[in-house]
Amino acid sequence: MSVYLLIALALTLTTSGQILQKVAAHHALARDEQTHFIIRILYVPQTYWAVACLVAGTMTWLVVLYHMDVSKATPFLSLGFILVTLVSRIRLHEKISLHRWLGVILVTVGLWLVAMT
Amino acid sequence: MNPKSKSYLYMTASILLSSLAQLCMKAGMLLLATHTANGWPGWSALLDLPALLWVGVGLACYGTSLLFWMSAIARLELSLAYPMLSLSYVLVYLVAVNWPLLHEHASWVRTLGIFVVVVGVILIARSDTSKGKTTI
Repeated sequence: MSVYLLIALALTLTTSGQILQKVAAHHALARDEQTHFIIRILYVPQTYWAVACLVAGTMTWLVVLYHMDVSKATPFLSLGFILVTLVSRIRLHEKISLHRWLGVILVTVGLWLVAMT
Repeated sequence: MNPKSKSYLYMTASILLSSLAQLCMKAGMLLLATHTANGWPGWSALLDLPALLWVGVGLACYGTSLLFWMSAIARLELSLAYPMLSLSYVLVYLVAVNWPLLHEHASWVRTLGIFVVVVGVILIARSDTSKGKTTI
Protein backbone atom coordinates (compact mmCIF):
# COMPACT_ATOMS: atom_id res chain seq x y z
CA MET A 1 0.00 0.00 0.00
CA SER A 2 1.26 3.44 -0.81
CA VAL A 3 2.47 5.38 2.21
CA TYR A 4 0.36 8.38 1.15
CA LEU A 5 -2.75 6.21 1.35
CA LEU A 6 -1.71 5.27 4.89
CA ILE A 7 -1.25 8.96 5.74
CA ALA A 8 -4.76 9.69 4.44
CA LEU A 9 -6.12 6.81 6.53
CA ALA A 10 -4.27 7.98 9.65
CA LEU A 11 -5.55 11.56 9.22
CA THR A 12 -9.12 10.32 8.70
CA LEU A 13 -8.94 8.13 11.81
CA THR A 14 -7.49 10.79 14.12
CA THR A 15 -9.91 13.45 12.85
CA SER A 16 -12.90 11.10 13.29
CA GLY A 17 -11.62 10.27 16.77
CA GLN A 18 -11.69 13.95 17.75
CA ILE A 19 -15.15 14.59 16.30
CA LEU A 20 -16.50 11.46 18.03
CA GLN A 21 -14.98 12.60 21.35
CA LYS A 22 -16.75 15.91 21.01
CA VAL A 23 -20.06 14.20 20.18
CA ALA A 24 -19.60 11.77 23.10
CA ALA A 25 -18.84 14.61 25.53
CA HIS A 26 -21.91 16.47 24.26
CA HIS A 27 -24.15 13.42 24.85
CA ALA A 28 -22.61 12.83 28.29
CA LEU A 29 -23.37 16.43 29.24
CA ALA A 30 -27.04 15.88 28.40
CA ARG A 31 -27.34 12.75 30.56
CA ASP A 32 -28.55 12.50 34.17
CA GLU A 33 -26.78 15.16 36.22
CA GLN A 34 -26.60 13.13 39.43
CA THR A 35 -23.58 11.10 38.35
CA HIS A 36 -20.13 12.54 37.77
CA PHE A 37 -19.34 13.61 34.20
CA ILE A 38 -16.48 11.08 33.90
CA ILE A 39 -18.88 8.23 34.76
CA ARG A 40 -21.43 9.55 32.26
CA ILE A 41 -18.76 9.55 29.55
CA LEU A 42 -18.28 5.83 30.07
CA TYR A 43 -21.96 5.17 29.32
CA VAL A 44 -21.87 6.89 25.91
CA PRO A 45 -21.10 4.46 23.04
CA GLN A 46 -19.37 7.14 20.96
CA THR A 47 -16.63 7.28 23.61
CA TYR A 48 -15.54 3.78 22.65
CA TRP A 49 -15.74 4.51 18.92
CA ALA A 50 -13.58 7.55 19.56
CA VAL A 51 -10.97 5.55 21.47
CA ALA A 52 -10.99 2.87 18.75
CA CYS A 53 -10.38 5.52 16.07
CA LEU A 54 -7.59 7.16 18.09
CA VAL A 55 -5.84 3.85 18.79
CA ALA A 56 -6.15 2.73 15.14
CA GLY A 57 -5.00 6.20 14.02
CA THR A 58 -1.93 6.09 16.27
CA MET A 59 -1.05 2.62 15.04
CA THR A 60 -1.38 3.76 11.43
CA TRP A 61 0.95 6.69 12.16
CA LEU A 62 3.49 4.25 13.58
CA VAL A 63 3.38 2.28 10.32
CA VAL A 64 3.81 5.55 8.37
CA LEU A 65 6.84 6.44 10.51
CA TYR A 66 8.31 3.03 9.78
CA HIS A 67 8.34 3.91 6.05
CA MET A 68 9.02 7.63 6.28
CA ASP A 69 11.38 9.92 8.17
CA VAL A 70 9.78 11.88 11.05
CA SER A 71 10.79 15.20 9.51
CA LYS A 72 8.99 14.24 6.28
CA ALA A 73 5.92 12.84 8.03
CA THR A 74 5.30 15.63 10.57
CA PRO A 75 4.04 18.19 8.01
CA PHE A 76 1.32 15.68 7.09
CA LEU A 77 0.56 15.05 10.76
CA SER A 78 0.13 18.76 11.39
CA LEU A 79 -2.45 18.93 8.55
CA GLY A 80 -4.69 17.27 11.16
CA PHE A 81 -5.15 20.66 12.82
CA ILE A 82 -6.54 22.14 9.60
CA LEU A 83 -8.71 19.07 8.98
CA VAL A 84 -10.26 19.07 12.47
CA THR A 85 -11.01 22.79 12.10
CA LEU A 86 -12.68 22.21 8.71
CA VAL A 87 -14.75 19.28 9.96
CA SER A 88 -15.75 21.22 13.12
CA ARG A 89 -17.15 23.86 10.82
CA ILE A 90 -18.96 21.46 8.49
CA ARG A 91 -20.20 18.77 10.88
CA LEU A 92 -20.40 20.59 14.23
CA HIS A 93 -21.48 23.94 12.71
CA GLU A 94 -18.86 25.90 14.62
CA LYS A 95 -18.13 29.41 13.41
CA ILE A 96 -14.44 29.83 12.61
CA SER A 97 -13.38 33.45 12.74
CA LEU A 98 -10.51 34.84 10.68
CA HIS A 99 -8.41 35.07 13.87
CA ARG A 100 -8.94 31.39 14.57
CA TRP A 101 -8.03 30.35 11.01
CA LEU A 102 -4.91 32.45 11.18
CA GLY A 103 -4.01 30.80 14.51
CA VAL A 104 -4.54 27.30 13.11
CA ILE A 105 -2.35 28.09 10.10
CA LEU A 106 0.42 29.50 12.34
CA VAL A 107 0.27 26.34 14.49
CA THR A 108 0.61 24.18 11.37
CA VAL A 109 3.48 26.22 9.90
CA GLY A 110 5.20 26.30 13.31
CA LEU A 111 5.13 22.51 13.52
CA TRP A 112 6.58 22.26 9.99
CA LEU A 113 9.48 24.44 11.13
CA VAL A 114 10.03 22.29 14.24
CA ALA A 115 10.10 19.16 12.09
CA MET A 116 12.76 20.60 9.77
CA THR A 117 16.22 19.34 10.56
CA MET B 1 -15.27 28.62 39.37
CA ASN B 2 -17.29 29.29 36.21
CA PRO B 3 -17.68 26.46 33.67
CA LYS B 4 -15.43 28.16 31.13
CA SER B 5 -12.44 28.53 33.48
CA LYS B 6 -13.01 24.94 34.57
CA SER B 7 -12.88 23.79 30.93
CA TYR B 8 -9.58 25.59 30.41
CA LEU B 9 -8.24 24.03 33.62
CA TYR B 10 -9.19 20.55 32.37
CA MET B 11 -7.55 21.34 29.05
CA THR B 12 -4.32 22.38 30.82
CA ALA B 13 -4.34 19.12 32.81
CA SER B 14 -4.91 17.14 29.60
CA ILE B 15 -2.03 18.88 27.78
CA LEU B 16 0.36 18.41 30.74
CA LEU B 17 -0.57 14.73 31.07
CA SER B 18 -0.23 13.94 27.36
CA SER B 19 3.20 15.63 27.32
CA LEU B 20 4.21 13.61 30.38
CA ALA B 21 2.91 10.48 28.62
CA GLN B 22 5.12 11.17 25.57
CA LEU B 23 8.21 11.63 27.74
CA CYS B 24 7.53 8.50 29.86
CA MET B 25 7.01 6.41 26.71
CA LYS B 26 10.21 7.79 25.19
CA ALA B 27 12.18 6.98 28.37
CA GLY B 28 10.68 3.47 28.48
CA MET B 29 11.37 2.87 24.79
CA LEU B 30 14.99 4.06 25.19
CA LEU B 31 15.46 1.43 27.91
CA LEU B 32 13.65 -1.25 25.87
CA ALA B 33 15.82 -0.48 22.84
CA THR B 34 18.81 -1.92 24.70
CA HIS B 35 17.19 -5.38 24.32
CA THR B 36 16.99 -5.43 20.53
CA ALA B 37 17.45 -8.56 18.50
CA ASN B 38 17.21 -8.18 14.70
CA GLY B 39 15.56 -4.79 15.05
CA TRP B 40 12.80 -6.07 17.32
CA PRO B 41 12.68 -6.05 21.13
CA GLY B 42 14.22 -9.27 22.44
CA TRP B 43 12.42 -11.48 24.96
CA SER B 44 14.55 -10.12 27.81
CA ALA B 45 12.61 -6.84 27.37
CA LEU B 46 9.64 -8.52 29.04
CA LEU B 47 11.66 -8.78 32.26
CA ASP B 48 12.91 -5.20 32.22
CA LEU B 49 10.62 -3.87 34.95
CA PRO B 50 11.85 -0.25 35.03
CA ALA B 51 11.38 0.03 31.25
CA LEU B 52 7.90 -1.52 31.35
CA LEU B 53 7.00 0.73 34.28
CA TRP B 54 7.88 3.85 32.26
CA VAL B 55 5.75 2.64 29.35
CA GLY B 56 2.91 1.67 31.72
CA VAL B 57 2.96 5.06 33.46
CA GLY B 58 2.97 6.68 30.00
CA LEU B 59 -0.13 4.76 28.92
CA ALA B 60 -1.89 5.58 32.22
CA CYS B 61 -1.10 9.27 31.67
CA TYR B 62 -2.61 9.03 28.16
CA GLY B 63 -5.81 7.46 29.52
CA THR B 64 -6.20 10.12 32.21
CA SER B 65 -5.39 12.85 29.71
CA LEU B 66 -8.21 11.57 27.46
CA LEU B 67 -10.77 11.87 30.30
CA PHE B 68 -9.63 15.43 31.07
CA TRP B 69 -9.77 16.22 27.35
CA MET B 70 -13.37 15.06 27.05
CA SER B 71 -14.29 17.06 30.15
CA ALA B 72 -12.68 20.10 28.51
CA ILE B 73 -14.32 19.85 25.09
CA ALA B 74 -17.77 19.22 26.57
CA ARG B 75 -18.09 22.99 26.97
CA LEU B 76 -15.56 24.29 24.47
CA GLU B 77 -15.72 24.40 20.69
CA LEU B 78 -13.55 21.68 19.15
CA SER B 79 -12.07 24.13 16.64
CA LEU B 80 -10.97 26.23 19.62
CA ALA B 81 -9.62 23.46 21.85
CA TYR B 82 -8.00 21.08 19.37
CA PRO B 83 -5.27 23.37 17.97
CA MET B 84 -4.27 24.15 21.56
CA LEU B 85 -3.10 20.55 21.88
CA SER B 86 -0.09 21.71 19.87
CA LEU B 87 1.18 23.25 23.13
CA SER B 88 2.03 19.68 24.05
CA TYR B 89 4.61 19.66 21.20
CA VAL B 90 6.05 22.86 22.67
CA LEU B 91 6.38 21.32 26.14
CA VAL B 92 7.85 18.06 24.83
CA TYR B 93 10.34 20.02 22.72
CA LEU B 94 11.47 22.12 25.66
CA VAL B 95 12.00 19.04 27.83
CA ALA B 96 13.61 16.98 25.03
CA VAL B 97 16.31 19.60 24.41
CA ASN B 98 16.91 20.29 28.11
CA TRP B 99 16.60 16.86 29.76
CA PRO B 100 20.10 15.29 29.84
CA LEU B 101 18.66 11.78 29.24
CA LEU B 102 17.31 12.83 25.83
CA HIS B 103 19.52 15.86 24.99
CA GLU B 104 18.01 16.25 21.52
CA HIS B 105 19.50 19.05 19.46
CA ALA B 106 17.93 22.48 19.42
CA SER B 107 18.23 24.81 16.44
CA TRP B 108 17.15 28.33 15.57
CA VAL B 109 14.64 27.07 13.02
CA ARG B 110 13.04 24.75 15.59
CA THR B 111 12.94 27.45 18.25
CA LEU B 112 11.35 29.80 15.68
CA GLY B 113 8.77 27.07 14.93
CA ILE B 114 7.93 26.79 18.65
CA PHE B 115 7.50 30.56 18.79
CA VAL B 116 5.17 30.51 15.74
CA VAL B 117 3.05 27.74 17.35
CA VAL B 118 2.71 29.75 20.57
CA VAL B 119 1.64 32.88 18.64
CA GLY B 120 -0.92 30.72 16.79
CA VAL B 121 -2.34 29.38 20.05
CA ILE B 122 -2.59 32.90 21.49
CA LEU B 123 -4.59 34.01 18.42
CA ILE B 124 -6.89 31.00 18.78
CA ALA B 125 -7.40 31.65 22.51
CA ARG B 126 -8.33 35.25 21.72
CA SER B 127 -10.92 34.02 19.24
CA ASP B 128 -12.94 32.48 22.12
CA THR B 129 -16.00 34.69 22.36
CA SER B 130 -18.29 32.07 23.93
CA LYS B 131 -19.52 32.20 27.51
CA GLY B 132 -18.85 28.52 28.12
CA LYS B 133 -22.07 27.36 26.47
CA THR B 134 -22.17 24.04 24.65
CA THR B 135 -22.16 23.90 20.90
CA ILE B 136 -23.56 21.43 18.32
